[in-house]
Amino acid sequence: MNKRMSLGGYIFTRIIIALELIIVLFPVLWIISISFREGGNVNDSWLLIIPKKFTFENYSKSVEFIHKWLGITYQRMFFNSILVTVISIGIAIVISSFAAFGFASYKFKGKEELYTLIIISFMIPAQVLLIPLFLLLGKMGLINTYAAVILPYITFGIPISVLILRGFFEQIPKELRDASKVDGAGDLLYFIKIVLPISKPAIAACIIFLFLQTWNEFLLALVFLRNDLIQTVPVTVAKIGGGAYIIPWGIYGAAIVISTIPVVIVFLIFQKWFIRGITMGAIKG
Amino acid sequence: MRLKEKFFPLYYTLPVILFYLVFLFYPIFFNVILSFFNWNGINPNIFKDFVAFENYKNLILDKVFWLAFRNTIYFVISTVIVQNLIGLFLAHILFFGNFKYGNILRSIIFFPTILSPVIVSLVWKKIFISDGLLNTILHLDIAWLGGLYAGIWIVAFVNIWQWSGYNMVLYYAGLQSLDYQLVEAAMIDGANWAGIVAKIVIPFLIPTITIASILTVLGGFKVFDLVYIMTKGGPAHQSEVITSYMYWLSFDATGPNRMGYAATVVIFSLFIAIVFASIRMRIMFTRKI
Repeated sequence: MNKRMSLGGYIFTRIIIALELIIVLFPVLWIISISFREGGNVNDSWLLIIPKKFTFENYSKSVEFIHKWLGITYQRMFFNSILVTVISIGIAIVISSFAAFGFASYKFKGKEELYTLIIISFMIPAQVLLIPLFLLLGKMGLINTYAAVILPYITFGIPISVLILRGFFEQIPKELRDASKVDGAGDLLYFIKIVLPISKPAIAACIIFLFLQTWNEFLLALVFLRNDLIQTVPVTVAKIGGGAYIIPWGIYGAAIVISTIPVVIVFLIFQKWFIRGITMGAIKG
Repeated sequence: MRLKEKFFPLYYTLPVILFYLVFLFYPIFFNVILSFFNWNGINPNIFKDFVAFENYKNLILDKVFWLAFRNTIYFVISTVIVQNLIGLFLAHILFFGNFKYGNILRSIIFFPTILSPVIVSLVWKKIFISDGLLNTILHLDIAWLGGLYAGIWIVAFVNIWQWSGYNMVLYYAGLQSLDYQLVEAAMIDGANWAGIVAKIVIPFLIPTITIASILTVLGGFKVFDLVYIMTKGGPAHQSEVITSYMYWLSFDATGPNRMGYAATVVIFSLFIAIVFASIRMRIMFTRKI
């Protein structure tokens, strides 16, 4: 597919995209620059971005700062987020794939109603659940434990996963089922041995979608994880902007850069999957 | 897959149903009940002080609630319009512009979407804060975030910065399934670019525009992180949105711990969610997906 374009159009499109790239990248480059410069002032840089005096010191100081004032280490903060994210996504996808298989391969009364109810629930805003969940999790003795956020995160992960997986399962040719029946496989065996392995692309899309949603969640984590040591990345980092501590700009920048690194690495590795996963979840949803 | 008649595939759907009942439907129900009570969050007997509709009456008379409501509406409307326009525009530019490294460009423009809103707010806060980048470059002394009116618009601006790339990706995906021969035929007939976009491309994208708008509206009614980090709803509640007001009422250390009233404040969010859920459901059923 080759699209024709005039010279004017060629120049216009390039200028627009160049402007957009500047708008998107400027804050990113600026905060990275802050983290590497001595002093945070405009005067400490050329063209706002290039540090006049380059230093790594902000990074080592930010390690000390986090430890001393926020009562946690970077390692522990990442560990908390990874633990919460992996467990939530894992369980959400396992139970969602079973449900999606049920929806894809059985007829039963009220099926579409139940299905709609499940996938439409992604619209329920977390703030409606905040107080009741706090009470419920408190009754269960789970506030200030990882489970306090894991359980709601699993629930939030269900609608989008059921949606993506059911759509995928329904496209699997029925000959596969017939063939496996000849081999004497029951439904469950067929699901685990045949359906799941060929559904890797759909499962990957779910993982990407849930990863962003879970890793970046803030409100519930802020309220349910009061203990510094078990807080996730957003809750910990949010404190440096809270005004309770006076933080030199360089350290502030370094803390932001460090806490963003894991997401950026995941993004760089799975770039294509990100865009595909996000579109799949949204277009179908 | 061949569908099998079965009574109910209970063992497949049970875990999902259980999670929903316990962590979704029960809390929603509980929140509605709580909105009829006064409770300070400490008294072990939650349901001691039944006040019927008093919380609702207070809500209607509560100036701060209406401020938060107005700000939320400002935020939702501005983000829906601007994010969609920018997203559509960029998707067109990238799709029709024959960019050699289109994939990389799309990834860069999409990039802010993957960041935590907390991180994004922290960065922009340093730009807008009184001794921040903007005032320093422009030699100004404006309290962008602390002013009476600007706060919510800056919050909306930052949200637009973060999410326009997301809308672009959705529209780009939509354009990829466009039948390009239609566009070429129109070109041969002498139609100009604006005409083609208005008569062929936009009508084709209407379903995507609808979905992107619903997603943005729902996201807008949830907004919390940006406000919490950048303005804390201040000064004097001027930049408060529904969720940040609810948080201040219920869990904030400086707030009044009015749990029952906070539950009433978010009933409105629940109502909006139900309205959009039913619109979305209608679209789903008419399209027979």
